[in-house]
Amino acid sequence: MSPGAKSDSLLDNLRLELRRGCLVLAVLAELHTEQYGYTLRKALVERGMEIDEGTLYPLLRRLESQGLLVSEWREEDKRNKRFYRISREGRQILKLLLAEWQIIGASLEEILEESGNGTLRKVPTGS
Amino acid sequence: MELLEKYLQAVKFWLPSSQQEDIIAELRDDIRSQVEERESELGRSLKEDEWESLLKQRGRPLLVAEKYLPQRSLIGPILFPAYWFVLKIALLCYLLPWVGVWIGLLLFSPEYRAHHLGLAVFKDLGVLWMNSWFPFTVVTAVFAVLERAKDKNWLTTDWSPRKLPAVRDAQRISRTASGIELVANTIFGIWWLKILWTQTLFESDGIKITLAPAWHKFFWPFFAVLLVNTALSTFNFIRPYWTRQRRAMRALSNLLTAVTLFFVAREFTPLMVKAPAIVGDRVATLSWAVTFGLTLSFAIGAIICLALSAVDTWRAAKIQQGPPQLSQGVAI
Repeated sequence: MSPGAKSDSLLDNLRLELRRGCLVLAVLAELHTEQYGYTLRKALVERGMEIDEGTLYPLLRRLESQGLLVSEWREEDKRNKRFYRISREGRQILKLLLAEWQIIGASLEEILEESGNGTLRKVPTGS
Repeated sequence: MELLEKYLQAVKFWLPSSQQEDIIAELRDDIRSQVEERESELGRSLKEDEWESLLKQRGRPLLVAEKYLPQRSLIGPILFPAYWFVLKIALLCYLLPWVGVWIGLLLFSPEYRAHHLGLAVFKDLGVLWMNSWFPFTVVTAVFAVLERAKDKNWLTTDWSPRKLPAVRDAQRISRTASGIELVANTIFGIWWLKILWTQTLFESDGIKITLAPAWHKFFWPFFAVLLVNTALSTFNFIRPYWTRQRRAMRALSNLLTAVTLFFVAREFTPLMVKAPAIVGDRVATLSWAVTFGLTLSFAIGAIICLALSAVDTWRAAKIQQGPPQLSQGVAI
């Protein structure tokens, strides 16, 4: 493997790790309005939150089994679809997670500023 | 559509039966939604190769199904380092003696060599393979059971920094080990020198096993080995710290022992058995068996001493001047 390819693969893995936690926030927030899997994924992608089906559907099932989402099968356009929305417990958890997210963001902002690596709003790019 | 059903059937196979229908229904709807969108963009139905490409993009059925399954492992990440450590030790302790004996027999027994070289090597390798399976299976099974033990609290809570092994300097020599080595060397050495001097290996109940006169020439080399080893053990006991010179001396002494043992094994000088109660060919057979056993022990001893000498040389080269290095203690 060339150094460039190795570096790309490393970046991909780190990016995936970084995004994994954010996906829960994004999905819970997006499901304030009821949606089925396909439209939810499209909505997330349109907002820049790339997620593949293989990640989204297992995540939805996990969040539902944890009581953060509720779902029901319903017919729409002559086809049965499973609609998801955030539960009451999910709303409370989302609120707490967003507070946590803000704390992490503020800490990171402070670290970046002190280390001279820019800020979250403006991170230096290139070498 | 046939491709879609084939694909869904393959995914379904790997899913837990209680969730199969639910997951497949949702997956089918998702794929059909994607296809409908694509068809409306193109203004026509998808062709078979387009279906194929779309499904390939979704991923291999096993990998798609795997994402819905809980993460499972025979031995989890917490126990894995301990499992790996025990497995290496078990394989080393179980296989190394086997390989040592095998090499010894090949080197020093012409009869064994005649029957175990050529294609017969594969038979021996088969035995080695089967022998490796036994410790592997037992260790893996024990750790798999530990992994499934419900209460792992002892791993996370029931520990104290006070109970961890004491910090040990890697270059420090245990006085107990040196003491045992000194006593064992002296007792065994004197016993063996007495045998070489008197030429009598065993005498009891009318049975007498004596060494051939050819053995006598090994008295002085063994005497030298005994002196060097005893001197080193004594020095280690008094000044219990490895230095590069001391390691080198140890390597040299092990090499000297290996060379002496090698020459004894190579000589294969028959022992003489006198047993009035045993008649005819059986005396010759007994004599050969005792000689063979002793020669084999010397051969294995030579290989072990050679290996120890190599290890000591490597350690002598690794010793650095400066702050002491911590040893690798076993602790969970």
